Amino acid sequence: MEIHRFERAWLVAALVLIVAFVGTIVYGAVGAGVAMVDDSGGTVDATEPTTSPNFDDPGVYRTGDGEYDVYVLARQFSFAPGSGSPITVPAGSNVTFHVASADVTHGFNLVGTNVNTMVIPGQVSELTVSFDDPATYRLACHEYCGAAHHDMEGTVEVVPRDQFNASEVTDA
Amino acid sequence: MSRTDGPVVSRRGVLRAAAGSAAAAAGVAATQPVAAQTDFDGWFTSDGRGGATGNYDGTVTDRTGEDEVTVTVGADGNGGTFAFDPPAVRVSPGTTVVFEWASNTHNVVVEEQPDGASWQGHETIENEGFTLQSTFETRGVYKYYCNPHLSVGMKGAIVVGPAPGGGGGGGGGTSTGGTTSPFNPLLGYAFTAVVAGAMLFPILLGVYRGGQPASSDAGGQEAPLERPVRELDHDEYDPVGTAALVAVYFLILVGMWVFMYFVEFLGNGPTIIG
Repeated sequence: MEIHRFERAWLVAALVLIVAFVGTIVYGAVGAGVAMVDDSGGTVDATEPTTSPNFDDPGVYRTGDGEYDVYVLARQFSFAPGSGSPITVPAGSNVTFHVASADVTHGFNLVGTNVNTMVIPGQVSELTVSFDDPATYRLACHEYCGAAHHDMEGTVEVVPRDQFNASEVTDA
Repeated sequence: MSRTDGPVVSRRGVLRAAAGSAAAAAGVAATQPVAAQTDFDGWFTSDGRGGATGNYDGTVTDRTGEDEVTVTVGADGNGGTFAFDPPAVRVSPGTTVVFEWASNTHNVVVEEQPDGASWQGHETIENEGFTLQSTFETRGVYKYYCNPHLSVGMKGAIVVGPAPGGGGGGGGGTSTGGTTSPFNPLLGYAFTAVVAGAMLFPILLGVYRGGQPASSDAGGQEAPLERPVRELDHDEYDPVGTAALVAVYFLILVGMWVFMYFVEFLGNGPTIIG
């Protein structure tokens, strides 16, 4: 089969593009350290997650120097903590969110960032995020969860280290 | 949100003042004090804050004369367990209202209360089994809602004081719900006609053309093919324009990919790192 040299050129260009696409994603995972949310968070009782030891008292827990665990319970239509009172963590810390749902599938998204996961009943979504600078992030449910889904939101406040009230957290 | 304490109080004052003559004149109305009709200035419709309250049927449950009245928080209604039951209740001054949480994630936020009253509600979100006791001394209308479920219409009202004659807060009880459809059915018919017309157009055109003599029949036979001016081999022809188009598409793709991955994604605030 005879292929015109122009066609050959743009076939090669298309293949190079595909390799480049895959290459950037590999760079993101290996070089930039972007991780995927997997099933490492384990499971909880799908109907009563509060009976699980980690979700009997959701909140912010300190696990080490600059290391925090945040347990969040999502239900129709609020995050606890998050909706009533903001989730407060200090800047310059690695925060691991453990999110469980008490009823239906919810979403957990720090608006405008890549921090984004589904919250499936019975499954704990575990994601670690590094907060370098003080900022206020809005938290949104982005999986339709019922009549007031659009009202299901909250706040994550990353406060400067010296303003962080350490007595609010418990050493896990 | 406009606070309407003043008008409510004054209107009630007027009603109470007029109650003597009104009740005397219209004694018929005064025989039905149990279900007073009121619209609470649209509080239970979507004109108020949040959504319309589906479980409010325009009736104020009369529980005057009782020491303790129970309001269920998170009762069935409004598309889930998002209702106060009863949504509107009339109690006597000094009555203790017990709010009983029957489902999870609710609170009681005060929207409006009479001048001089200091009801706090309960803004902390509580779960099933929680109870809140509030004693209402000041006469007037107290409006409250559940913050997580305001948009589905989880709203309530407490009226403290006896029913003002039979007038029941000014009537207007027909405006409950208030969900008139903004959709004009004529638009629907027009839309259906346009869609059906667009779908049938090729068929109609075919029918129309079928009735016409085909153009090739008119000539009797096809016109002879024109001879090419110049013939080219496969490799002699360079589709430069097409190549340029492909190159432009390629650049657009690369540019969009770089923007999407490196600017939109990697350059976008905190990222999941574990």
